[in-house]
Amino acid sequence: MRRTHRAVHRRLWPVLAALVLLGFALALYLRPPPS
Amino acid sequence: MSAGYRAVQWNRKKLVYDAIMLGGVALYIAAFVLIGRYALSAADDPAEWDDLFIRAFGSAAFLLLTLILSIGPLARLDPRFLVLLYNRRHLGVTMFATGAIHAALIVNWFWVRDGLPDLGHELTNWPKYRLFIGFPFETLGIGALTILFLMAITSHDFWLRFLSPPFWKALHMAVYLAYGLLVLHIALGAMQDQRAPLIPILLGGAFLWVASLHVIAGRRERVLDRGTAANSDGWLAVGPPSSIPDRHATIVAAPNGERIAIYRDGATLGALTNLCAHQNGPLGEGRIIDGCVTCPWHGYQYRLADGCAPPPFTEKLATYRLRLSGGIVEVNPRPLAPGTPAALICPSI
Repeated sequence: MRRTHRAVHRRLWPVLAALVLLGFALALYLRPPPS
Repeated sequence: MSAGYRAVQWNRKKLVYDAIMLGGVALYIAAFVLIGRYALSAADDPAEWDDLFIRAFGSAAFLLLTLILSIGPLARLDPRFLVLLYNRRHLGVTMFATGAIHAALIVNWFWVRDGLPDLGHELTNWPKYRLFIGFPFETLGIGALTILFLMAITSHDFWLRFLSPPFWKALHMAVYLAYGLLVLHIALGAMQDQRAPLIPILLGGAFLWVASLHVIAGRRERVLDRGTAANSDGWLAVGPPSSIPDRHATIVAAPNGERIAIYRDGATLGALTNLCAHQNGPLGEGRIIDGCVTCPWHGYQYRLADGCAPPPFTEKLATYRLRLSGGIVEVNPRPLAPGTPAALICPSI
């Protein structure tokens, strides 16, 4: 990978990971109770 | 490219790789369906069977993508994993095909029950797009599958050459977005339907595994990218010639510069760009095979003396000037034109 790829990857990847982690945690927390 | 290594062509290595990969996927799906069959209370219900196959293919695609995203950082941390990287594109296309079968089975599920309008209604139920729980999670899967489709159809070397390696690589980095969409697709879909702890444990575990590997490998990369401060005349110190392992390389970079691979082959030293002409793979993490610098990713080869691929291949890499100063090898970070001879002989090694 070129330096530019690595730089963009380093900036975008943590943001994407944090959003996905937040989404996963919320989906787990807000799961409806078993019927 | 390489004559001896037979890089991007069908060879025994690729056939074995593909056989293991396809056998593994088939085995997983068979095991999933068989275990599910015994775990289900209403196993004779055709809808349950359909559901089992849908989940088997969907989970197989997700696990394959988790494996694919693990290969890059694993290979960076331990060269023994490079064998998995060699044919990663076939793994990617198989993963897309598995995901596409998952999607086709879902459409078929609605089709045989005259429920296609229901599926259409679910996807176009706009008020639901404002919800979090209840969000039409199928859309997330469709988004991921679209990205994976674009990657699968451009995976051939024709597209790599046509789009150029930097653009191709940038396009294929969208795989991270696809993975994020898939995690949320499962979290808002299957994980909401079933209260069993297995799905959140596997989903969260897979995501944390991929994230942790990238963080660990990224830390190592960051140190390399900080670069080496240049001397007053702009040259970078590499170290004594003997500090470069024979037939291997030491990688250096100027601050804000691309990486340079300084290889040693006996008493001959040569500096090439660290970017392989094929997929911009990390050339300095390879080794010298048959007298040529060999990329660890797919075996593309270049002569150490001038960065040219051996005939009949035509790829050329940028080279860099080297010098010995006080017993220390130094490299000039300004690249020479691709294919320029620039090797240095050190008889004292």
